[in-house]
Amino acid sequence: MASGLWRRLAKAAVRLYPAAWRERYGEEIDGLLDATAPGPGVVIDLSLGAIRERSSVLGVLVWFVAVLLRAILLTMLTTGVLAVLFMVIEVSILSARHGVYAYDWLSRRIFDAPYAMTAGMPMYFFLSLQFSLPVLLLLLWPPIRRRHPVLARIAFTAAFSGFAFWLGRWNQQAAMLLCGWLIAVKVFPTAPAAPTDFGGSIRRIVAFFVVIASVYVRATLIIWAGWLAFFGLVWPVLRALSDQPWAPRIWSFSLPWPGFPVDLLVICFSLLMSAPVLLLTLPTRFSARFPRTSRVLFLSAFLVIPVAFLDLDQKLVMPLVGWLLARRLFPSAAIAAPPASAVPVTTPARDGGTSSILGLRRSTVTS
Amino acid sequence: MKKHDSLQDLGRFSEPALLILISLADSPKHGYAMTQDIERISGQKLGPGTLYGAITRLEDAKWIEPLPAEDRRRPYKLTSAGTRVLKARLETMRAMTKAAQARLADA
Repeated sequence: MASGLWRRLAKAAVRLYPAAWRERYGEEIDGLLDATAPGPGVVIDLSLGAIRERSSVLGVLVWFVAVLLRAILLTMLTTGVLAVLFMVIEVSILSARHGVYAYDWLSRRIFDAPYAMTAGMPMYFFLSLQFSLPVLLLLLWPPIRRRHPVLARIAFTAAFSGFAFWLGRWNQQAAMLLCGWLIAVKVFPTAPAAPTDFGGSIRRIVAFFVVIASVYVRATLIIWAGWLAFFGLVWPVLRALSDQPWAPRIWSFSLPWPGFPVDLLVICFSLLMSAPVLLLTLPTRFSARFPRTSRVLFLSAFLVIPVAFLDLDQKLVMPLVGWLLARRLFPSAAIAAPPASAVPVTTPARDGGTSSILGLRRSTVTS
Repeated sequence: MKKHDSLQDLGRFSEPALLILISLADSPKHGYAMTQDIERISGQKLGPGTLYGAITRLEDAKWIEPLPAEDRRRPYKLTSAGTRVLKARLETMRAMTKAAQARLADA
């Protein structure tokens, strides 16, 4: 029954392929699906294959979103460093004048900063794209595009960021300048560029969220197990002892209910704070060469919000979540992925392949 | 159509493409037979999306070619260009393996 369901889903996934492709290979794949017992893996494989075969349309969309995210993150990194510097100076002056209460104001500013720095960015991005479209079409004229690519880049960046400079604030202006330049570099290459593999990008993004979800579930289970063990074994002893006249007062505390042990919102905030570290370390070979340093860097950034601002239970829980995440993101046993063709025969990693999301792969070469 | 010179040009499909070329090296095979053969020699089970994604690219590069279909199964065979590419890749791998084994022996 279940096999029949997966077979139907797999055949539905085949319909996602472009019509010309289905006409050529559809019948063969149908035959292959009938000869095997397809499972969820086959359905996912076929769906990702369909996305890849349609990458001319989807790829452009994915690329635009990726440019926007990259620009926002880079802007956050630069403006964040500047903002913190300014705030430290400003708060020092305010504290000197008005006392320690200025630190409450500092904490509000830090919480508001990520939102303030990214507010309106998608809207500005698409409006800038719309306004700069005529200029883009003009610059795509082959004599300009081929002979003067650098000039075309500068002109497009100016046209793209013009809207933000007209109506936006400084952070939006900075982000749109960066977005414009990133688009211009792709559209007006100075040398022929290799095609981008969007299928791989999508897989990595999905795998990244799978890692976060698995860590979330694991951390929750560990915390609940610890709490139940404490409640079942240690707590009765403490309660019995606390009734004794000689027991110190500290034993008379009430057992806190762990509630919802790992707050997803806190994880999201912490990931936002650690985004610059991830951005700088994940796509490079740095994490492969220095996994422990990468872990420490990531963990430091991840724990800023929980340690500085949150309650005691989150202060205790978030280091565990951060450490589990850091271990998955920066595996110490990982090796840098060799060129695929250099590995003759490989078997998939036993951990479900999640360690390959960063371009790092634990592969076993079989003889 | 883009001209490919080596397996690396196929990007993420280079590894499945190599396995397909190896599988077709002794005789023509259809999709199901290829997945069985690849699983036997490498331990990897290629999904149909990955398999036919690689077949599409190999066919575009003219490294394999389809034979007349039998029922719903269409066998593929290695072309002379495909044989040349496979031999070049295996030669590179052989040199690399030799170098790696020599270094391991020294370690």
